[in-house]
Amino acid sequence: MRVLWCGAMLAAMAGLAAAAAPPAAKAKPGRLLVVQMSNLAYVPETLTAHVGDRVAWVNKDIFLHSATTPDFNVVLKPGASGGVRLLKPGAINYVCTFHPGMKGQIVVTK
Amino acid sequence: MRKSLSLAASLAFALCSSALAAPAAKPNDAQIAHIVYTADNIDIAAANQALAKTKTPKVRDFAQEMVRDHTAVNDKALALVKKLHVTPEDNPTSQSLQAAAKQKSAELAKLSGHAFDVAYANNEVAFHKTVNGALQSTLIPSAQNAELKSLLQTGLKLFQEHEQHAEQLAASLK
Repeated sequence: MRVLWCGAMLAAMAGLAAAAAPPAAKAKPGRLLVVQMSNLAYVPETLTAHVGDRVAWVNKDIFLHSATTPDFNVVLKPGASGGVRLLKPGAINYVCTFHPGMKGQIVVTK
Repeated sequence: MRKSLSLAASLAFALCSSALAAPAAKPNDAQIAHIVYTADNIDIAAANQALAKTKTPKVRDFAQEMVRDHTAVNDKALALVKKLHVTPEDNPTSQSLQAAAKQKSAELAKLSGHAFDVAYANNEVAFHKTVNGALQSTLIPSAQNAELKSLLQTGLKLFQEHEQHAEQLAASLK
């Protein structure tokens, strides 16, 4: 299980909500890394993170987007944000199910 | 049956291509806004037709995406022309697009089930390809206002995504 936490987060980056985080996730809060969905692209397209970090996607476009893998599916309306917590190392390739040309990668290290 | 559908799609493509590829003159910003708005509305209408006719989940998902995205672009375009005090101007290209779309809609109305799904997906590929070609070759280079040009560039990127998605959908229906 790569992702332990996935859910809606506050739009304000500084006030990111980690509601419903399970006890194991609380023990290591990690960093917050932000990926913008802007002009039908993920910015940055590739992200380097550590186990325990959280990734938040912020939809800056006027279109519905998602960050989707077999493990998680973060669907965001325009202006919304949401994210996941990274629990194990490896490369995560994700796409927008609505706009298949949108591709991103998170490289998770220990 | 498949052959006749393919022919119909080719005809619609040719109609759209000639309508967009040979404008009477270089379009002005008011005409460009009208063409884009018209193209968006044509695809929204096609999507609504699909939603009324098909029960296939992936086709319905695609159609809902078309309604959602093209409505978003149109809302943005309308806000922009209002801000710029520009009145979209009807023109031969918009009229040709509407005429071709009306014909295509009538063709699709006669189909149902898998035949409709395939024809709709193929037409979506052809339509987006045509609009993308027009955006790249004519509309974006002709746009004078920077904000309109930027909106067109966003539109191009979106419609390229739609073209790719439509190709995936069409391939999955074979």
